[in-house]
Amino acid sequence: MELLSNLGLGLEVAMTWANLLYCLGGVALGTLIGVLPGIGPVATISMLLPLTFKLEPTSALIMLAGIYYGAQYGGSTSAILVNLPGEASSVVTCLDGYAMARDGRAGHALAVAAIGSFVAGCVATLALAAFAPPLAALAFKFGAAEYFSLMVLGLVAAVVLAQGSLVKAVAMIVLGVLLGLVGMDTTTGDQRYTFGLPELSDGIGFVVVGMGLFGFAEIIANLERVGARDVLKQKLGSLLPPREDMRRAWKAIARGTGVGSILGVLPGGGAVLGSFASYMLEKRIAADPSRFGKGAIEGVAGPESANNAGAQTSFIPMLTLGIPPNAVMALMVGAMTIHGIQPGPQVMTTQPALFWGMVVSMWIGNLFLVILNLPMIGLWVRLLSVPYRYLYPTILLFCVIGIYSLQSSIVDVMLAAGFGLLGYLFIKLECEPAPLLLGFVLGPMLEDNFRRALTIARGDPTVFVTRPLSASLLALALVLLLIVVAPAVRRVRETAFRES
Amino acid sequence: MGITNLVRRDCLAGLFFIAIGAAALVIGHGYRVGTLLSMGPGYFPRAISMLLLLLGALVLIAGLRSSGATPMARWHWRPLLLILLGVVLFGASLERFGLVAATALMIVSACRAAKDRGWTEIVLLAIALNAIGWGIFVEGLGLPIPLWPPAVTG
Repeated sequence: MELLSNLGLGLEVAMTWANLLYCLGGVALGTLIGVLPGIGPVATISMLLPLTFKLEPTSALIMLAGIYYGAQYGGSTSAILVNLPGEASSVVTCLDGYAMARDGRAGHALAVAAIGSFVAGCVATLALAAFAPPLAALAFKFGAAEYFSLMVLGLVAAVVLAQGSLVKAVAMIVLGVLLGLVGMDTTTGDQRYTFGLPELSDGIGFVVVGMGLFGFAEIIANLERVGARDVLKQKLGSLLPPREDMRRAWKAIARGTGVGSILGVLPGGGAVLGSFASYMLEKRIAADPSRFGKGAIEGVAGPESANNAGAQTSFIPMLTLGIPPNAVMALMVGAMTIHGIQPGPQVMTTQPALFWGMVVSMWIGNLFLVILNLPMIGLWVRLLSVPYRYLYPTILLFCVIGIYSLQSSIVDVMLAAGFGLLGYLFIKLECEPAPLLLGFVLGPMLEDNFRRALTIARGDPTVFVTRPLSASLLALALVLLLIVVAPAVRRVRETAFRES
Repeated sequence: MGITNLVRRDCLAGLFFIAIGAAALVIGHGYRVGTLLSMGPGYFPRAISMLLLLLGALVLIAGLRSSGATPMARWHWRPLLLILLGVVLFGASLERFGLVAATALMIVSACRAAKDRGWTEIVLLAIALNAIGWGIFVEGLGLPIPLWPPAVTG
């Protein structure tokens, strides 16, 4: 019954008044920003990161996690009401959610999304608590070679599961790794790609990259889509869906939770993949698939449960292996480092209060989400009608102050402007920026483990394939890559993402 | 094939990756490479730059070979330049003139990114956002950001 005592410890930590308040604050702020269309979770988290600087690490992480699933949930609200997904994981929610809203059933859609998210959050939190310890125990057996191979597998999987062109996504990862190398070489102390700027010798800050590529570029791209917003004029309708709808929704919620929880753990997974997979699943097994896209409640219940479950379980690889499976988790790794915590298997044993407090706070945060969202839905709707012309200068201000406050560096602000330009270029070239951020965070770890593995093996490059665990990880990566390149799979993957 | 094909979206993406990879090789050519046993600071960067070059070439070739490839979407220069100019102005003036002036400068530039507003609105917005910036970040969070030019506060 170690699980129970662990959860008990977590409950003790999470239920202090201060931490409850930070959790509530995080969820509320996350929802607030997440509801605004065109601001994804990566931008939201980097924007709000400075708010957590002064907190102690446990409270800071509880708040950041709250911001994340708040932003996630807020994205669904704008998807249902305005037909504008706040982020990729609620793209499919638009299809049936907005259709329901036009039908005058917006209330039903919002309620089902909230209930589904809550159920999924509870199950996924339990999964996190149950699977994290064994995984961390496994991670302790890993040497440098295994870590290197695991990261390669993670990066390959991230590409395979990403949208769009495969080669471009790989190139973006490699570009990210290259950017991650900027700064002082930790082994030899040499400066690399710093152009003589002392500010760069610690490397480029991940907030600078995230804010530029996601925050600034998103603002600019939003500004060129003039008048795209069409806030719902109809009534919300009642919140409680009719019995027939509820019956359908429950099963979809259960299936979505399962699909989302499993896909969330995969490298490159997280919330997005789960919601797409769940939508396809619901459509396939429905007795009458033609209802989808016209306001089928399963089309909201399934994906909304799946993306919340996935958001939650994607913490597992980050917390146990120290390897972020997606861009949001990459940001969380950076945030933990700022607070002096090196993510990895040792967190659970050296800082059990932090680890379990965070796990339990996720459950509490999900409860807050329901409480915040159902009765207060009117407030969020009102927020949606604030014109973008007032919003974006405010967002911009939060971004620049956030960047500057990281290390009081003007160079960081200028660099972020540069990354904003780069992000805009990527939008025009249709290159997904998320793999770049992942490569950026993993780059230094990749080099470090590569080096250490070879030093330990006395310069023998076969070390990666002669150690069985490392070899199987690499083989898995290779198989994954080959599968995607195969023409048949390629077609399925393309149609899967075109579903929206 | 011809020079016009190069302006297609994917060809440009390929050329972009090639350019970055090449630049990284040139800038990093002086970094000591070392051996597998004792890697110098240049080993990994060189490998990564060459990988990027290769991938860029693959993207370029795929772009050239695909029929009916899409051209790059049009650039909207006004929001791009004015938003980024706002950020640069903020950065350039923050430590010299303080947060109040830096915020005002940024807001003016960023607000001009959308064409449809008058100066009254911009001034009001600059005042409101200054209040937010001061209230949340300087007073609330106690971040060490100068509000006024150093000359005024001494």
